[in-house]
Amino acid sequence: MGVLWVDNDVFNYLCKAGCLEAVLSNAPYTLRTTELVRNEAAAGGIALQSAITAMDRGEISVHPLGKPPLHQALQRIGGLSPTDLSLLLCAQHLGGQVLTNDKRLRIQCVAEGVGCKLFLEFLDECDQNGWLDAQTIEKLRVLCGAV
Amino acid sequence: MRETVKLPSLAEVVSKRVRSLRERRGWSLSELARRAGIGVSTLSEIEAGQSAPRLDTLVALAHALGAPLDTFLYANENPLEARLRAIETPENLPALQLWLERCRRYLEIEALVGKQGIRAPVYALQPSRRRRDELLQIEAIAEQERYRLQLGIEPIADLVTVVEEAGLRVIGADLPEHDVEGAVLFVAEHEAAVAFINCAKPSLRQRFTLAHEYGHLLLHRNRAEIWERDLFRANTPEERQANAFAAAFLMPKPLIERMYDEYGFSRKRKQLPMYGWLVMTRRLQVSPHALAWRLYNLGYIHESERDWALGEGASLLKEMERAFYDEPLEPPKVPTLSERARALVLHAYCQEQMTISAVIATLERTLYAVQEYLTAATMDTHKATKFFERVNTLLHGGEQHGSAVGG
Repeated sequence: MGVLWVDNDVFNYLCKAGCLEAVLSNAPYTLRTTELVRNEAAAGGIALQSAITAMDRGEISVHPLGKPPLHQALQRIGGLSPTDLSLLLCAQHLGGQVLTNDKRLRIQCVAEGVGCKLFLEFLDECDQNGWLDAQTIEKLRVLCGAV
Repeated sequence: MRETVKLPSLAEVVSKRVRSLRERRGWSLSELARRAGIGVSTLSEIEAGQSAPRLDTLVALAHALGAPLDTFLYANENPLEARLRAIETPENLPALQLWLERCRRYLEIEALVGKQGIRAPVYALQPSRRRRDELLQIEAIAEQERYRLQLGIEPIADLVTVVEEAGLRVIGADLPEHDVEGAVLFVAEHEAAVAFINCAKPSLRQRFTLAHEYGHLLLHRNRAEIWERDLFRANTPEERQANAFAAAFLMPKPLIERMYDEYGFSRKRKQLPMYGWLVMTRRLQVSPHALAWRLYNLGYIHESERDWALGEGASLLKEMERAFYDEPLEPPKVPTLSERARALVLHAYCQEQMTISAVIATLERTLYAVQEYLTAATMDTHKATKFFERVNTLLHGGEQHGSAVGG
């Protein structure tokens, strides 16, 4: 079904709800992220350990800094971090959509013509297709303030 | 991203900045390689721009050089960097790099939320040959400024908030203690003025420095940037004027007169009793040093009394303070990021102008610690209470409170 470039906001929800492995096993998307996201996650301590482990095992592929399109220096965009910019660039040049719950990031994706899937839309898909159980989906909706 | 400009390669940017920072720290290739835990040949290749380093190598280099990672990722150098070279030393370079990044982020948030601009007026000093006339002019400016800011004559409790509301941005710098007191930068492209305060100095000193930088903003904004290595030994007219402003602003003459009357101190004797020094420094929240110069310039004490306070008096007064008071006088230190800046970050986030990743970088927090609070930030209190109850139940079986959410 395509590639999702995942930000840390989403990894954090999935780790807190303890369902990252279920998403990796059941959702027919290829989850990718960037080395800058991984670095930010690592700075968060043990909380995001399952995401780091999945990245290290290759279950979530990590696009390295220095490889196109991240071979160029970044251009500043107000309100965005280098981590956000790396996801945008990868989705734009390598294909796929950015998966985020961040409204500012979504606004920038739309402005740049980059595909973006909001986390709540993804949860609806998970619900409709049975990729996650109802209890987990409820948990994730609570965590992101949707209920 | 819209590729309207040709961006340099990451290898090129990293090469240039790593070499520049290494040389400014006075390190050889092997010294930096040793500190970063990488091979000399790897570092040599990076500096030659032959290849972009791996991220873990770049993180190690950034750490060793004491520079934020962002320094190596963006195409354009922070434009303020060149202006800080005047006070840069190999020892303070990491603190200056961090300060620059904080400053850049603060000004960027202001631009995002449209809160730029300096509201404080510029006061023109009339040229005067006599020092006394200059002091009188500055005295009047300080009084006018207190009136404009509706401060009355009472001591200023929260100086950072006062000067920030007047348009001076305040950012603390973690410099070595022996380093510069502070500085002010006028950033024309952002229509901003930023005060740079050394957080390692005693808090009374930080307070005086901040008032001094505010003086520069009011008196010398139309000139180029002003730097000072040591306020109290500065002998340029600008530094002298900024010191005079700080003294008059923090220690208004009417308040000093009122205290003299209240405690029955004699102006004629040109001396203060020991307890007078103690009472006045604590009430005005200034050091004996600053008070001594102020009273001397007002003609309330003799030169010998001033010199006593500048010399042996300071330590005697410290001992006396310990004997009579539970706590030493300690006004709040200048924060690395002010209340106002933090408020603007939250505002920008809630207005969908900043991403979570940019918020956590600016606040120097981890996502895991603040995610729920950012989610709740736009909720009304009723909804937020329910939200935290639900999150606690989900994550901790309902046994913990909101403060525990987010680890």
